[in-house]
Amino acid sequence: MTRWSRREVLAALATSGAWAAIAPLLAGCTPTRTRVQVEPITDTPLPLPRLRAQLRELVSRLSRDLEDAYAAAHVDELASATLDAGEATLAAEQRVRVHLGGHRGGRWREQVIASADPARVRAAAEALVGGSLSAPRAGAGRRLFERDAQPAIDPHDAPRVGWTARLAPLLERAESFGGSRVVYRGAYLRVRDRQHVFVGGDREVSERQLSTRAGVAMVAWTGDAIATGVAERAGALGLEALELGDDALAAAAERAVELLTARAAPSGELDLVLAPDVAALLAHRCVGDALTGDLWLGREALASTLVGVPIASESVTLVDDPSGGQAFGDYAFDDEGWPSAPAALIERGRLVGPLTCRRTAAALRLPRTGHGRRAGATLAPRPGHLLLAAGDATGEELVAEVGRGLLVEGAAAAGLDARSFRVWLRAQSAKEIVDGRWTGRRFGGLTIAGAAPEILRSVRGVGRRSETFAVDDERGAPLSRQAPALLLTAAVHGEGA
Amino acid sequence: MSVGAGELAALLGRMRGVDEFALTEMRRLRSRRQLGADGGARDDHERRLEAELYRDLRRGRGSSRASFEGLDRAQARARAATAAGHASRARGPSWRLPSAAAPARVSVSDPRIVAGPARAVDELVAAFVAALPREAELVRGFVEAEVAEVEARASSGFANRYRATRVHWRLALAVGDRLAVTGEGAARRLDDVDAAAEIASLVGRAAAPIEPAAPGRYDLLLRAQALAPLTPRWGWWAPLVAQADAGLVRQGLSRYRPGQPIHPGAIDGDALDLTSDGTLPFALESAPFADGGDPVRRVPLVRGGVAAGLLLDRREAALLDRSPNGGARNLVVGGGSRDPAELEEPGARPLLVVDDLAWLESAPDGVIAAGLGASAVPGAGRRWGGTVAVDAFGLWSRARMSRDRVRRGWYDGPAAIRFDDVPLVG
Repeated sequence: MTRWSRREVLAALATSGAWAAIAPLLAGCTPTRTRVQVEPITDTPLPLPRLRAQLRELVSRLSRDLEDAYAAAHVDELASATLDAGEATLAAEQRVRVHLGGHRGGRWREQVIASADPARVRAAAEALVGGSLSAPRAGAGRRLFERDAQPAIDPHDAPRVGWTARLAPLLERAESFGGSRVVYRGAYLRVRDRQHVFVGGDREVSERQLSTRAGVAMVAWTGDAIATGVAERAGALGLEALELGDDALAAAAERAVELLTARAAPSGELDLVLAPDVAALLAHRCVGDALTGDLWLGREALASTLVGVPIASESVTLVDDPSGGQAFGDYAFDDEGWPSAPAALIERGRLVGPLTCRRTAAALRLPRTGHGRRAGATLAPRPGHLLLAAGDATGEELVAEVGRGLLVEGAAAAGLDARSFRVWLRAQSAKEIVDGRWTGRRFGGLTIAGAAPEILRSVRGVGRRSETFAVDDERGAPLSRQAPALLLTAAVHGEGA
Repeated sequence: MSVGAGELAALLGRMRGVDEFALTEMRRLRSRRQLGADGGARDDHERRLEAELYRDLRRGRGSSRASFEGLDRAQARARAATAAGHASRARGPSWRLPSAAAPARVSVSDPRIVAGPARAVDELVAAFVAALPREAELVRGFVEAEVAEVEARASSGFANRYRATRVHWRLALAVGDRLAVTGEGAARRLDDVDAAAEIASLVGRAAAPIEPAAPGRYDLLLRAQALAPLTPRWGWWAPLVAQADAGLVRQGLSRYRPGQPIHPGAIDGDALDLTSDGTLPFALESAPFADGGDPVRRVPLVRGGVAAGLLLDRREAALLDRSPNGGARNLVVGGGSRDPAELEEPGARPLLVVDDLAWLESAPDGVIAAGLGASAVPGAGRRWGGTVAVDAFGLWSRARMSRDRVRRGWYDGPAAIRFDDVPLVG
């Protein structure tokens, strides 16, 4: 059996649209830096209790000079391991940010430092008020909220040097699927372990958020065609994410091999069954990204003029709900200490409203939805766990409704112009459907483009079985999206057609 | 007391198990003012102290990167020892640090911003507001100014530092009850910001509604803002920049190698000249040296449609027995000789003149997709939008470029480039 190195996989994928499928494996593994490791910082653990006590004291002092004084700290530990037949890599890094802020004269101000050093934290507080700190304000009673992650196998209890060894059994099991046409198999594990502290208003919040992805990527090859399949388990998990079932591995191998016979996809307006991963991409990048309070505040999104308007068929309901505690993008409190809760975005086809943080909610006079999330210093409302509600159709029933069309699979990329609400979506492959039946023909990459409301209004069937997918959003924050298959009509453009 | 670059260099220089090293310290203050209903101010103090440690073993050289920010001397020593241990397990080809080379002589610091980033922000905000016509409103956005002090040291003897400044803005502007349009820009100096022109451009775009163009094949004429969006960096040229990565070429992973055409078919336009130049005074991607002290140089990437030089970091340079050149920087695009009027002549397909983009996505396989923010058919008086998706390499084989030039952000090249026969997919 031919066996490829990771280098050969990269070479082949450099000229193929299939690269997106195995991005989690290749993240942190650029062709020029496969052997560089980033040092974990576990040799000097951060004194979080001390930092928390200092933030509490500083907020009590800042409250004398600022309205709504607050302090927040985010400590992100990002660790990953990969393993294939020829190579094992391990990487880890820690990022610290401390934010101190409040309002004066109706405008907010904030100091941000990338350090938990007590002297620097205090200096930042002094810079915030422009001089010496006032005496602490007495009697600032706060409700205490603490939430710890509950993984079955805590990443902290599993030394990182052993992570690649934990990938070995998973990779070994994957070897038994796919046969000789699968030329490469690589296993990966990525853990984001975040400690988040917020002190302000009537609350003090401390939360540990775990976002873990583990999986196997498979690459199949015929000599002139390449295809990929991925089996992944993701969620608010520890290393138990590695317990991936054989059925998922078999499905990934089957998918990679099936795609080898793909030909150029057709173009034109067609009936489409979007597989759950493509429907989830549509819900996130083409719809959810237009429904954030900052864009609405800037009057930058056409969606802000469509509240109450049916922008989708009645069978479409979209919610962002990061409060479940199980999904990859879940959190109990947002980065402003506000509790997470379900936020309706589209209800039975009608546009409800945007996701908000403290500032956007106040400025737009809308309820606060608990979606204030930071990337670096910047805070903005962003989705955590997008959920497109399931319907009642089986997969067979959706296919049976198609006269001439495609089952579109393999979400690859998307773009959104919020001002016009026009979207573009790229998928890796499609299967032909004629008169409600598979023809057995496989097609390669295609794009779907048009006005988001037109596409959503054309939805006339929603699958009953949802699937959940994990992604790191464009700012590196964990996000999960859950969706069933959708039946709709849209203009497609086949690549190479 | 946490260690600085000098102390860390001395420590690493004496450590057993560290054969060579290169380190960078960066301290940055970024002052931001939020505009409109989202109004407020923030100072972001960032400090980074990172070192790459190299260890020579019989089977090759191992490397490890570690962060030393906020560590005292004892902690830094312990961190370096752990990193050196990891380097011994992270094996690669053998190489040595190139000799220390002189940094590029390039100015990247504006004394007005250094004197007070917050004051610079106030000045720029005032300039934007003063340029606003009565009917326009800055609905949201930010203006920020930063001062960065960068120091690099290496066991090769390199030790140098520089100061860089930058202003960055993103504005959402609305005219009347219409939706806002957004514009983003950046510059090294306050004097390089033409606030009136920025606002005038936004007002022009905000005043006219955009209608979707019918899908089909079009000829596209891209103007400055559409050619050089601030993000993603290198926009339409990103696939070409990626193919000049020396490591990609060394491992046989690139689509083409130096000496080969960037597109296998015949050139049906102007042969492209593309140069990465980090030595342009006050240009956005200019710098005297890159991380670890790699000197920044001018590098021809494409000459007459044929791949030319490579982007070399210290490791790739050493493996090729050449000098590092600091990686991809500002892009200087040559090869344009067309009269601007010639580029606006009607062709076999409808011509869309594209003033700005709503978004741009570039994939590793060379597919570029872009949302057209505002486009016009000359003389028709209406604005069109839509999405184009193309293979970047094929695109550059049929580019026609104007002889008049523009400098914007990371871009220095033709003020307009025309691509014929581009599919607009929706």
